[in-house]
Amino acid sequence: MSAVSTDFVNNKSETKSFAFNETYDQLLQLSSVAMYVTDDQGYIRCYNSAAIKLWGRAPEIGKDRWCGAWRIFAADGTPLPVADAPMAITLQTGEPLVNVEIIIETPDNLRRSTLHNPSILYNEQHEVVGAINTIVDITERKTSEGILRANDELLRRASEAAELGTFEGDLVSDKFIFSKRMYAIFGLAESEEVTHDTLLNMLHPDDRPLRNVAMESALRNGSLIYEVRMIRKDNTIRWIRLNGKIMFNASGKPVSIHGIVMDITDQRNAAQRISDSEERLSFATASAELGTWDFHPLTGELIWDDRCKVLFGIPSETNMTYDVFLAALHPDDRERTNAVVSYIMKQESGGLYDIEYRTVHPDESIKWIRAKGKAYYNLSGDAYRFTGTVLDITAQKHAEETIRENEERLRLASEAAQVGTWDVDLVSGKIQASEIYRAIMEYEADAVLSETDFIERIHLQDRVVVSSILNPADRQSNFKFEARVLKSDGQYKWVRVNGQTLFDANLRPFRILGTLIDINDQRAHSDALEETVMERTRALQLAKEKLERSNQELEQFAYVASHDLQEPLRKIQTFSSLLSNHINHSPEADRYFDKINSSAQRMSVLIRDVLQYSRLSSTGDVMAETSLTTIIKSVVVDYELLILEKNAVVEIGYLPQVMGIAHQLHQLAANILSNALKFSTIHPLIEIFSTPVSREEVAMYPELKDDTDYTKITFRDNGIGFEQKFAEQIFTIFQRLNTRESYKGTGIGLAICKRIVESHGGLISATSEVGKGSTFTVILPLPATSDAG
Amino acid sequence: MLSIVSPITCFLIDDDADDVEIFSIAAAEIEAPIVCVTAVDGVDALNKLSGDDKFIPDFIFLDLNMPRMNGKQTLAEIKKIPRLAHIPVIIYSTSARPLDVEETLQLGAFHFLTKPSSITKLTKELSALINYQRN
Repeated sequence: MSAVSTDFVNNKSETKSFAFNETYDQLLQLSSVAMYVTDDQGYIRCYNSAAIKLWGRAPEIGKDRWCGAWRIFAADGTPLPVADAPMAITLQTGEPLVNVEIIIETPDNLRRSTLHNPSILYNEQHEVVGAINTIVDITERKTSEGILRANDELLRRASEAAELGTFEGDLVSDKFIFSKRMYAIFGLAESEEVTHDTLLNMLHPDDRPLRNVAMESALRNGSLIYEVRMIRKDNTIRWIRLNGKIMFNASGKPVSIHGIVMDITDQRNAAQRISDSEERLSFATASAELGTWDFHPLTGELIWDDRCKVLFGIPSETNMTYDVFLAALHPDDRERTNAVVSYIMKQESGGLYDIEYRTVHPDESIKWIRAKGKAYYNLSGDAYRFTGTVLDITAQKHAEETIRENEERLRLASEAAQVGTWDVDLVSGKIQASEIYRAIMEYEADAVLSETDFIERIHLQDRVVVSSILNPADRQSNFKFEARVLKSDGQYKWVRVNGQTLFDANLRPFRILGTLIDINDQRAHSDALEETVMERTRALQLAKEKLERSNQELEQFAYVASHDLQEPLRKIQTFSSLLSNHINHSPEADRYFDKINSSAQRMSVLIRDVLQYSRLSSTGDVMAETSLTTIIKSVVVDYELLILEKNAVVEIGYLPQVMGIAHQLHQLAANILSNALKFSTIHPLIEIFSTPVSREEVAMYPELKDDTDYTKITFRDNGIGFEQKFAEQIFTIFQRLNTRESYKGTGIGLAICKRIVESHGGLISATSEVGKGSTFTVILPLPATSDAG
Repeated sequence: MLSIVSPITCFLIDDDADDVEIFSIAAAEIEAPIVCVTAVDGVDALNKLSGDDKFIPDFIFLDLNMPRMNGKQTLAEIKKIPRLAHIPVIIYSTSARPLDVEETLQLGAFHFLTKPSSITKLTKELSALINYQRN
């Protein structure tokens, strides 16, 4: 079938390199598939009317580049720059592309899914002169019905060829060419010249409006289909079905028409007319996915195309029979399918065949097939032809199966976890909700749910937050919230909502899916827990304050006590010395005065030490990095006289910086040093040095912290020592190991040491043996940045 | 040594009669002639000071721990009287709590004297103070 060559445009003058070959004209023109040709720079040089129809516009020759569509998108809907169109890629790489799917948009914003097949055009010198692209509209292939519709024209041609009249007409010159059968159908002599009016004038007046409506639509989409009565010259009336295609030029003006005409009078008369083209489909298509079959029940002849055989796993050379077909089916589906086919063979069935079954391939793999078809019956009611298509729906079946399984799993899981699920259709505003959702929200099974109602049931204190989350003007892709909802008894319960919004290709939200859980018990529990913690914290705070107060009171008491105790003591001393001036000095009297004085003096020191000890707990001093070397040296200076007097040697080794309160550490060292000097023998030797404390050693003492480094300070003397069994006791307040007569002291010094070390987070211990000297070991924390060595 | 011009007036403010006696004994030991005027507490002292414009002691000795008006309050009040502003006030107390020392010196005390436990020591302290002020 050839048409008049006016439905494409080209411009040969602009680019010399583009040697436009006449073959391309033909090719483009013959094709009902959209095609266009570009030069080597990608500028569009010519295209056919199918391309115009698909693009919804006629690109300007030599201006538009790579693709004539208004806008293009990748298959997933993301916008695609025209420079990334398949054609552009082919021109860039020199490689042809096959069936690249992109979405094209017309200026009216209609979108079509298309497959692009660009390939390079060469001249005789094998130089690139341009490229040609074939665009297949696959929008309607998305459903099997769509596929059938898309192949409507092909089907018609193939199945009715023998009985069809064909025509071609140039709408500009008004020249029409009729085929032989066309003349016959119209009852015209083959010698007659025909024009558009020849056709129009023969139309039955009653049916003209029908044709006009069909024409109007054809001028939009290029496809002219109608069934009308026609009055022949001999006044006989024939029903005809006309199926035509209108071609347009670049400016969208119709320039030609071609088509087929079928005499359907007999069908009409026999009431066999089938109005819908979809129902008339009896033949399969050239589509890749569909297999076609054609069965002639009267002769038993069964014709399968190769695709059909591939779908059934039957070798292409196999001679098909109905039994071969049945044998290829899954045993479980065989009987059912046979029964359906038997039924279709009867005229009362109506002849429409639509079935799903499984086939078993030689490798034992199973494919799901959907078969559609139509049986035709002769006047005696016997099916003489049964023809249709098969489609592989295995993937779809599996997907459905998976979805079903997932849904079931989700449902089971939701029920088990007491999770309510909901699904809002934003277009209709309808909410689907699971039973658990309804149970939690206390909805009747048939209650109609809405977002507004949900928000109204939210506690006022939570509503602002929830309303902003569910704001229709600003849908969030993922959200969750916890809120109180009103129950039927007027109380509130806590629920947790999780949601996910789905957006379409234009980023408009169309659906929200989500879950809802009753967290009231959980909330109540955690609230109670929080309350308990708060209570405990308050109690602890009170206890702490009480302790601080009592410490302050204690210090106050100690101060007052020491002040008030010192006063009478001072007076005893003063008046006893005044008394000694007024009496006669006898040896006894002097000895008694000495006793009074020494007792008073000792009590004075005792009071001072007790005061000091009580103050240790309540100092506001802050721990700081402190040099032990500096401290020990200043203590040695304090005791210089005593050291000289005792002829003692003090050896000081390496001492690190420690974390501590300087004046307390000073007192600590002073007390230990004074003890060493006090309990010394003839040649006192006192050694003071430090050693690192390993982490393993730290771990041995529960009082020490794992994450802190420590140093060990050793004070070793060669004095009188003590029995090891008293090593603990010596740190107890007022504990003396020696008589007061031989060694002075209050028995508080080492207790003060212990208190100082403990308030530093350290440890103090002593080892000794009578006559062999004593060793005092003090463990103190190192500054955080310092190394343990 | 000291040239005796006129007696030195010491105003002792202390509620403790024993301490007043001890102070007097110690003062009597000093070579210079000393007149001791006493008050039993801050209120008494301020009455005596404001009741007689001509009463300008050379030294004021002030105990801290007293009933009615304690030493610190008394010190603050004394410092408000212009004609006494230049008179050295010596705090004379049993304990030398660092906080008390600091506070009283800030209030304008001249010296902080801890009550010693012997007459001899007190006599020495007083002599040193008087000599220091005289020269």
